[in-house]
This record gives sequence, structure tokens and C-alpha cells, in this order.
Amino acid sequence: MRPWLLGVALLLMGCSAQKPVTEPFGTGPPVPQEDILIVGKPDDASGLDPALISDGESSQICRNLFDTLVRHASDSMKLEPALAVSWKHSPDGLTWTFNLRKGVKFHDGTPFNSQAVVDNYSRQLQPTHPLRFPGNRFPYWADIWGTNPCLIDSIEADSDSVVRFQMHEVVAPFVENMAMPFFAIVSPTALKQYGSDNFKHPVGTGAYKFVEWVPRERIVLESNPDYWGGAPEMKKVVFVPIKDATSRQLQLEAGKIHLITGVSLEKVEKLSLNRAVKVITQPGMNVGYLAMNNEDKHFRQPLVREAICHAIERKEIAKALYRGLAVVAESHLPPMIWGQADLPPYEYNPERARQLLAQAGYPDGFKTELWYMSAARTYYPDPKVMGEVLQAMLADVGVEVDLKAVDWGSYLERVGKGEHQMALGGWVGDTGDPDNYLYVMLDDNNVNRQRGGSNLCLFKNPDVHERLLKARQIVIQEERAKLYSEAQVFIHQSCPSLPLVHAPQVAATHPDLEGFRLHPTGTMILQYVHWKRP
Amino acid sequence: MKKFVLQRLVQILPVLIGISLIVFLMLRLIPGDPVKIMLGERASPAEVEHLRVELGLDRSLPVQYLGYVGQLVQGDLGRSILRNNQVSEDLSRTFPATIELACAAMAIAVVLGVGLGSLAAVKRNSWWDTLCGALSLLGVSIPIFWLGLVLLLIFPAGLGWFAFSGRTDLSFPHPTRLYLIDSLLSGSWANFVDVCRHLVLPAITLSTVPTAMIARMTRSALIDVLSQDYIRLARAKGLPWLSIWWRHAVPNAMIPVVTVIGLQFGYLLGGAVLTESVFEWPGLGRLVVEAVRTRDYPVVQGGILLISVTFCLVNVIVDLLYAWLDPRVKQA
Repeated sequence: MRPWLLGVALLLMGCSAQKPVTEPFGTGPPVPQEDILIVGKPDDASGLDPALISDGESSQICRNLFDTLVRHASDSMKLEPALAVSWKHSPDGLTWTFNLRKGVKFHDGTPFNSQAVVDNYSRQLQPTHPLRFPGNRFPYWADIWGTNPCLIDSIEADSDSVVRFQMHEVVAPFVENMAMPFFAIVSPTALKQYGSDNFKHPVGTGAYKFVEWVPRERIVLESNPDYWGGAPEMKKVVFVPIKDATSRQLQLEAGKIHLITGVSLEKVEKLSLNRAVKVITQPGMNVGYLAMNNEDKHFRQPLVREAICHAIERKEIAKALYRGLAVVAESHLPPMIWGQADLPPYEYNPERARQLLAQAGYPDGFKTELWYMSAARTYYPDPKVMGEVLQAMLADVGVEVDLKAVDWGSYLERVGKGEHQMALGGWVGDTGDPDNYLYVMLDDNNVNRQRGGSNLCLFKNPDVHERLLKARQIVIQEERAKLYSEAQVFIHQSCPSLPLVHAPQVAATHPDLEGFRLHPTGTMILQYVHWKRP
Repeated sequence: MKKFVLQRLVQILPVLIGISLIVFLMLRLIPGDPVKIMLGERASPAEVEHLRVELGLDRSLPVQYLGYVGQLVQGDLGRSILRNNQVSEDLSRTFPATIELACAAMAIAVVLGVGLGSLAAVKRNSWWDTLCGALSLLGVSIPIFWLGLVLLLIFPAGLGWFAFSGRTDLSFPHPTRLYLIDSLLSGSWANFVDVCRHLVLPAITLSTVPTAMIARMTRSALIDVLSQDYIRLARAKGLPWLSIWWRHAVPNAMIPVVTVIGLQFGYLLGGAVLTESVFEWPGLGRLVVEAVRTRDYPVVQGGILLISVTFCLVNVIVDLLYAWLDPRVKQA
């Protein structure tokens, strides 16, 4: 029986228990005649001005339209030159100077130079800048550099190809932050021309040029033959928003589209056996963790928190809920980020957990609540199931857990305010700097009971705080790595929360598509994609 | 007639004020902060507060509502919190998509529904009647998303017929944003065929419920009319069957059917969201649902207001059709 007919028959019978597929099946769809790539994405872009966006769907497209001064290598977190060929900081770490690439032009013919860089960043820095238009909000600028006060004092052009940033205080991850796609450079001519509507008319220096955006239908790009990094072979790329994961998969299998992201983990095994598809998995720069409220009457006791850490069998979680594709997290820092510490894993030992609970005054356990978010996240494909698994494991050591689903719209605010006892927490990093993880999730400064902070455990520890702050203020990486390593040891000893997993990211492509790179940051790099032709 | 239309239009006003107030309050009473959703996990409290002030969400609810109504009176639906584009622009893109889909579905529903209903009425108590009844029941009870998936599996995935999703794969100008018309205006037969390929499956999926409703109503209305004395008299006078059918039976049976068509059309506008989701149809329903999820207040308010206005206008049109079908209504 043909596979699709079997699918229909099973669907008609309301039957979901298909016979497990163990042998390769299907045939690869034909390679398109033209150099065209159709990408199915879970959502449309929200905008195409990198400074205005904050979502992954938009930044994946912007990465191919625009360039940043520095960028990550296409297959690692190593920084490499992009629109800047070199950079250096002053001895006091307060001045950063970038030497810009010469001879680069924006897609509209405007020359790329230091004034373009100054214009781009000044519109975000200065509230009255002429290129700042009504309704313009720069979420990442505000988050990374702050608005009032801003960590950057001024941006000046020293010459046509040298630009200088003067800082108010030392920001150790400065260059790492500048590699974020949100700080890419837009043509100042286009900014002037389109004003508030600039987000619909992207003009950058990237490998691809913008052709058309029909909102909620498609975004079309074409190869930039003059790209400074070499013109892409793929002449045309079309991004099509397809929210439904099943529909994305069906269209890929039928050869109607050639690349999909957001593949659910439960489909990976079967998709890998389909000859019509090539599955690409990549360790994700994220962490899912169990956030215990360190100010709660139970969890303020370190013994209780340690007991919880020993009661959860994380290897089993990674195997069962993530199809073995996730990495068990020993720290809040994903493995590809520098600054790691050699930490002994929290061993799964229910007996030890029960002993610790007894020592803490809970020989019969206690009753508590675990919150999970209503919407799936990168690090939790199914938060409810994760909650149920944790509930069952904790019941085994006498901790009776009530599960509570909380709407994602209010989840972070309520958990940040400490309304929870236990909650599923998670983080997807933007940069390859440890500051973006440890400071955000575990520093005293990010505890905020009034408005909700990003430290979801409400964990405060002077030893950790001192090191995380110091590491922000020095620029020598070796010294910083040592501080982060020490901070993690203190964190591990206090076990404010239990890191669970680093979830993978999965994409699938046409079997004959080559050169596609899914970056750890979640960025989609299409510069090198091409069709394998005989 | 003018007075009749004006009366109906004036009656819409309080309905719209009521709807705008309810939507405004409901959006603000459900949990979830649009500012936090918009700024994401990384936002600092100061940034959240700054944006809240910028968007005017720090003001009291009555002040916010009055500001909103003031904007509305000037024809300004505001800007999307999430995307910063004009809400009217979003609506002008998505509304034609929904209208096109709803009209196609309604065309299918009227042809099939009236046809099946008439057949069942004429062949009353025969196996035709039973078959039509069974099909109507199936149409009402079949889950739309399930049917959509089955159609996707059978046709595009299995047989390679029709398209999986979207409105078209081709690029051509969209002056009306009704792609059937735009593709014809483009002068290319290939464009028109491509638009039809995309429209067929979602239209069939969306038409199931209205087809069933119209069929059932047509059957019962026709059975009622066919048993009236004037039909018996017409037969006794020896009028041809076709004449009895078109001049006496159908017009009199159509009043309740038109009501159902009007109501179902309203349902198609607001309730097409499931079909739009399965077939990735970039319509108004999906826009509003997505905006609710992200608490994009101006888009939700604008979208629901537009659906309400259309629903009210459809009702006015139905009233006018009553008057046309039965002059006694106009006199009343």
C-alpha cells in the first residue's frame, strides 16, 4: 500500500498507532531545474529591520540580508571579521575601535563606510536622531546596552573606514554582543527613503538582496552577485510561513519545499528513514531547568533543593522526551560556550534524596506546586509532559506535586515575581558569552519581586554575585573564564535550580541540498547552499 | 426603501459600540502583559515600564477606551504593537483573503445545499432523502481540521493535485487583493489556474457546515411550502411543474434559507480560522487569533470590529433580500 494511502486510512480510522518504521523508505524528489530554494518556516517575519526585531523568524532572514561588524563562524561560536576586518580595545577597556572592510556597497549602491555605522547605531542611541522614526523601538539595543543610561557613550567616525565606540563603563562581551544579528548595518539611504516603513524595505550588504514580501505569504530574496564574501550559488530563496508542522513535513516530503525548520523531535526518527528528506540536528544554545523558588518556605533550605536534584533522572528525560537528541545539562551554560567548570553531575539517587529530605525535617516529604508554561518552547517541546514526568519522579521520594498550567503571556512575569514554588524555566542564548546565561539567570541583580526579574529561582549568593559582576568588567577572556568557572562551582553547591537539558534544534532538507548550516544561535546561513547536480 | 436601509444601518451603531467596549475590556482583563510578550524574556523592568508608558497602557481603562474611540472616529485603527504597521494595512491584506475564501465556500454551499435540500424534499422519504440527510449530518459533525488534513493527504500529498497551502505560488500585481480577480486582471491564465488550485481544498473544507445547514433548511422549507394550499391549487390548475417550482415554491421557501445563508456567511468570516490554519490561508481569522495570543490589542480590536461590521452588513443585506422575496416585510 502506498504510504499516503496508509496515512489516509489510519486517519479515517482514527488510528494513531502506526506500525513503527525501521527500514529506509520513499524516494528523493527531483532536484529543481533552477537554482531556487523554498524554505518553510513556522512563522512569518515580524519585520526586516534588524534593529527593530526581537524574534528568531525575522532574524533568520535578516542574517542573509545584512551583515554585522563581526560575526560567528558559520559552524561554531568563534568570532570572525565581517564588515569590520579588525578591532581592538583601549587598555582601560572603555574604547573599542573597528577597522572597516573597504569597497563594500549596500544593495542600493550606497557605499558602506564609517558614517553608515555611526548612523545605524546613533539612531538607536539618540532619541532625537533624524533616522529614528515614530514607533521605532530597538528591543535588543535597550536590552544589551540600556537606554537611560546607555552603556555606550558615543560612536564616532575616525576616518572613512575607522569607527570608535566610547563606553561609559567596561562591557566585557562588547564584541560578542556586536555579532548579534540585531546589530547589523542597514543602508542609511534606505532609512532616509522609507522612514517608518523601513522594516518592509530591507537594504543591507548581505549575501542576498530583498525582492518581495507579501505578508503572511512569502518573502523572496535573490543572490547578491557583488557580495564581498562571494556570491551565493542559489539564485533565489523564497521563505514561506507554514505554521503547521505536519503540513511543513508533508510539503517537504512531496518536494514542494526544500528546507524546513522547527521539526518536532518525535518526527525525527521516522523522517531520518525517509529517502526524500535529510535531517539536520544541531546542539542548541539553550537550557531547560527546574526553577525552585529559593524564597519559598520549603526550597529556601539547601538540603531540600539538593534532594530535588538527586530525585530527577535527567538521562531518562533526555532519552524519552527528547528522543536521545538532548544533552543532559550539568550547568546553565550550554556546552559550546566557553567558561565551563568541571562540575560533578547531580547523580540520580532517590535514596539519597529521601535522606536529605529527612535531614531537612521532611521525613514524609511535603506537598508543593510545579508550574509549567502553556506554550511549547525550544527547550520544552511539551511542557505538560515534562511536568508530569517530574511529578512522577518527585512522588517517588515523597514530594507530592500539583501541576499548574500557566498562560505563557503572564508566565515569566509571575514566575519572575516569585509567585511559584517550582516552575519550569528556560533560556535561549543570544550570544556565545557566559554573561548572557549566568548573569541573566542567576545573578542577584536580576531578582525582582515587584516587576518580575529573569532570575526565576530568586537566588541570591554574594560569592556568585561578586564573580559575575567582576567578569562583566574585565575584558581578558582567560580571567573571565576563571571567574565564571568559580561562580558555577558556587552555584552547583547551592543548587538553586536543577539544569535539566540542552535541547537540540532540528531542520530537514531536500536530500540533494548541500551547504546548509544551522548555527548554534539558531541562525540559518544560506550563503553556501546549492543543489547537488550530476 | 431608503428609509428601510437607513434604519437598519443606524441600528448597527449601538451594536458596534457595545462590541468595541466588550472586546476592549475583555482583552485587558485576561491575564498577560502585551509589553512583556513583546519585549520577551530579556526585557528589563525599566524597559517594560518605558514601553508601557509609550503605548499608553499605563493610563486608566476609561482614558484608554476614550482615546481608542477618538482614534476610531478619525478612521485610525492604530498601529500593531508587535509589528508597528498600520492595523488598517493588516486588515486590508487579510480581509480580502477571508472574503474570497468565504465567498467560494458559500458558492459551493449554496449550490450543493440547495440542490441536496431540493432533491431530498422532492424525493421525500426515498433513499435519496436518507442519503441527503446522512450527508447533512456528516457535514455538520465532521471536524474541519480533520477533514482538511485528510484532503491534504489525499490530494496534494498523495495524488499531487491542488496546492498544499497559501493563496498562490506565483507573483502578480494585487490591486484588489482578491486573487481570483487579480489573476484574471493580470491577463495570465496560468495565474488564474494557480489561484484556483490553492482555493479549491480550503473552500471545500470550509463549505461543509454551511452546505449541511442550507440543505437541511431547504428541505424542511420546501416540504412545508409544497404542502401549502396554493401549491395544490396551482397543480389543480394544471400549471407546469417547473413553473410551480420556480414561481411559487422556491421563492416562498427561500426566506428561511436566505436567513441561514446570511448567518452562515457571518460564521464563515469569523469561523474560518481552523480552515485558514490547516491551509495556511492568510486570512482575518488567523490574524485575530495570532493577535490574541500576542495580546496585540489594536489588531484584535480592529479585526473583531471589522468582522462585526461585516456581520451586521450581511444581516442588512439579508433583510433587504427578505423585502425583495416577500414585499410584506418591506411594508411591515
